[in-house]
Amino acid sequence: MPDSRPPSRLRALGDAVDLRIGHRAMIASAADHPVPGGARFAYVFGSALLFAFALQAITGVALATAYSPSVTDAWASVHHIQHHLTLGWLVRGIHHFGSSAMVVLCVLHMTQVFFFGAYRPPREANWWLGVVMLLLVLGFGLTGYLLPWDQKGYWATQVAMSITAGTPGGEHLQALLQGGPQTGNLTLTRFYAIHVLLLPATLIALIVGHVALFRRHGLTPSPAAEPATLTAKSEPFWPYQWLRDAVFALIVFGILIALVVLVGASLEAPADPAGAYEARPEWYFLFLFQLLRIFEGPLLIVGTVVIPGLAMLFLMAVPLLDKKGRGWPAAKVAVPFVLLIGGAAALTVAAMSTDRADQGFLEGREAADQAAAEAHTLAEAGGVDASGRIVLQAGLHLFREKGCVSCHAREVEGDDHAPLLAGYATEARLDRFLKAPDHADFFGKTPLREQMDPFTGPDADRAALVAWLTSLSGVEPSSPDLIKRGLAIFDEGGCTDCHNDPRVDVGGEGWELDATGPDLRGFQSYEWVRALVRNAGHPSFFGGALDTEDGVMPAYPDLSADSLDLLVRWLLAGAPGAD
Amino acid sequence: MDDAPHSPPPADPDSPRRRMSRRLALGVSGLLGLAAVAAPAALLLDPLRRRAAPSAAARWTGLGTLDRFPIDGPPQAVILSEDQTDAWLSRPNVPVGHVLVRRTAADAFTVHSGVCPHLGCSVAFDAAGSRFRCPCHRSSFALSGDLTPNPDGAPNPSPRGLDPLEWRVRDGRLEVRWVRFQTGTPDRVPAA
Repeated sequence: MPDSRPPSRLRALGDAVDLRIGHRAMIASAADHPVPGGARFAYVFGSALLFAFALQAITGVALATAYSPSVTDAWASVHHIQHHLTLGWLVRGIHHFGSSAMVVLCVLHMTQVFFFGAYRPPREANWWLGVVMLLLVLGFGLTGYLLPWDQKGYWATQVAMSITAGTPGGEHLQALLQGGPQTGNLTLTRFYAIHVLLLPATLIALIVGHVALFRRHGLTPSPAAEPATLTAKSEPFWPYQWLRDAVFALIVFGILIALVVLVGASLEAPADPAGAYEARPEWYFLFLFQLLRIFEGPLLIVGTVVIPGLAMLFLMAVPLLDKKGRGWPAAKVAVPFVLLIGGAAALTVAAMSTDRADQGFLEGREAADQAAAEAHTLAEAGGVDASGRIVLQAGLHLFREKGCVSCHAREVEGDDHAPLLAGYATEARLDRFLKAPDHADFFGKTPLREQMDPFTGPDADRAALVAWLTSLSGVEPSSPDLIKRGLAIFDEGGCTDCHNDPRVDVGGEGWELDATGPDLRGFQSYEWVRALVRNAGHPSFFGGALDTEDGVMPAYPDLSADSLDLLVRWLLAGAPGAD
Repeated sequence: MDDAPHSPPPADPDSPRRRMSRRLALGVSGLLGLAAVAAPAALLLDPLRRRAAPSAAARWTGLGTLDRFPIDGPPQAVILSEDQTDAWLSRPNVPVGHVLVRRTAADAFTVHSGVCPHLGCSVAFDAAGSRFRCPCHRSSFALSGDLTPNPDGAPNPSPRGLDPLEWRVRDGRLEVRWVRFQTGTPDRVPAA
């Protein structure tokens, strides 16, 4: 191409590079690659797949910089990406919906090239490469959704593993994939390695081959087109087809962004092998899931191996079955192909509508959504510890499992219930308590009713008393003057009629063993609450008042130190979720 | 440009349609490229937004009761731990460093950071030489924390003496304000 522009340094550099690597010829050959019959939107799916894969790679690398594949850290690191890192929700969202885009585009691309007859000689090898690549894309999905280690990924993988184990020789494959007899750390590390190393390397190699064969054989035009027009209307790839490809890729990207913003990538509660969960795979595996519903019991293998195997076999055999040579695909491949795609679509729709009509599933779904929201709130409030536990959620679960909730709740059987714990150790709750200890939220429904007089002084005095009581736990006082005032009110207000003075040592002068009110030394500190939960009936707490035959607030001598710790930390965080 | 092997029937390279298509193709592709990398780039650059919590520098950490430090006794290394939130993980009692404590009188202490001002290795007491030394590159410090020559004359690479830390005595306990300083500089600048 003659160039009339004056020589520039950039051009000189380009010349120097071209002399060494010959990039101009390579680019020109790709740019001028002819599109028979001219550029068309029908040809955009292949390059859209390339774009989607590039997007997955770029977002995947970004996610990998903040993800930790271990059962203790995976969920927390994904939660951190989703809620704390800059635009983490967007990157993860694009990656999440990008996987769906890959599958959808694969099907569209395959359908388009199938009907244009692009599997025919000499392009059979490229069709076969494409079928293998479809499997790799599904492999990406399968390994990817375990990685957040949330309920959805965990249970879907459990099901996939069970299916694997149920196939002939499958238990070995299961052990290899899983890295051991159970789903655990090695499953995560193996899936992660497969997802970010093995599959990308393989897919990239196959993409290079796929594109090279495409360049070698050229685009397959519509069978309906006249050969003469095809040549006459031929256009170079750049810029005409490229423009259509780019516009379509932009539309795909726009849809992805819309999905991320409007729907968002979900992160369910952390994997809980002991909990109940309505396991469902990602939507693009639902047709397989539905097959399992149809083929139960001894026929299961028909759904898990025979039908998917036959389908793959058929796709691979398409170039061998159709001997027509040119034109639209022969009926003997076209009909099964349409049945295959239509069948998968029908099974997917059937799976979804079965679920929509299933009350049990819907309830399970709602419970899972609530658990996800609760896990998020509690992780934000109290963090995740080195055991991978959401600290406050672990406390809340103990509150429920150890039976605390059977008394510390409004809706218990009979009229009486123990004090409600929401907002425990907060100044607001203490303030309400001092104002009306016999309110139903506090002592009103307990044997401690009418044991504690309400504080009837002015609001400001009560606030001072609250400040002083709060300071007993050891937190740095915000206003020393207020605390002094609170202490004075404690001394003068008759509180010591029942409570020991927290400034007096145990057994010191004026200290009474039989004081009916709880010992206030370290009031609502970690140690104080810990001792209270362990044995609320101890003389230094509610002693005789709780010492009844009914076993009100029993002692918990068998509660492990760890459980006690979690309960106390949950209480001191205001007992979130207690009501 | 060279002749491409698959040259199509020539569309005039400078036809208005081609020029327009080329501009559009470049524009849409550029937009697409930017859109694809923008969010991942923002995520990768996230650390530039993070600064160490300033409260960490302001907190007093207990080193132990006074009887742990005999007057004019040998310097003691005390490990400091704090509850840490490390990205997604909350961990209690994570060792974050050590300080070198010397009690010179009933109510007088010298407390130095155990981080070598040279390149951040861990400085220890050398009982034989009655000094502090860093095992990595032979930085050498007197008990006062000042630079002191190595006994064998080897060069002392540290650009400044040990970093003194603020201390106080509260309720019979020695407390220190733990600060990490930048290493390798003659000036004492708190690390960000």
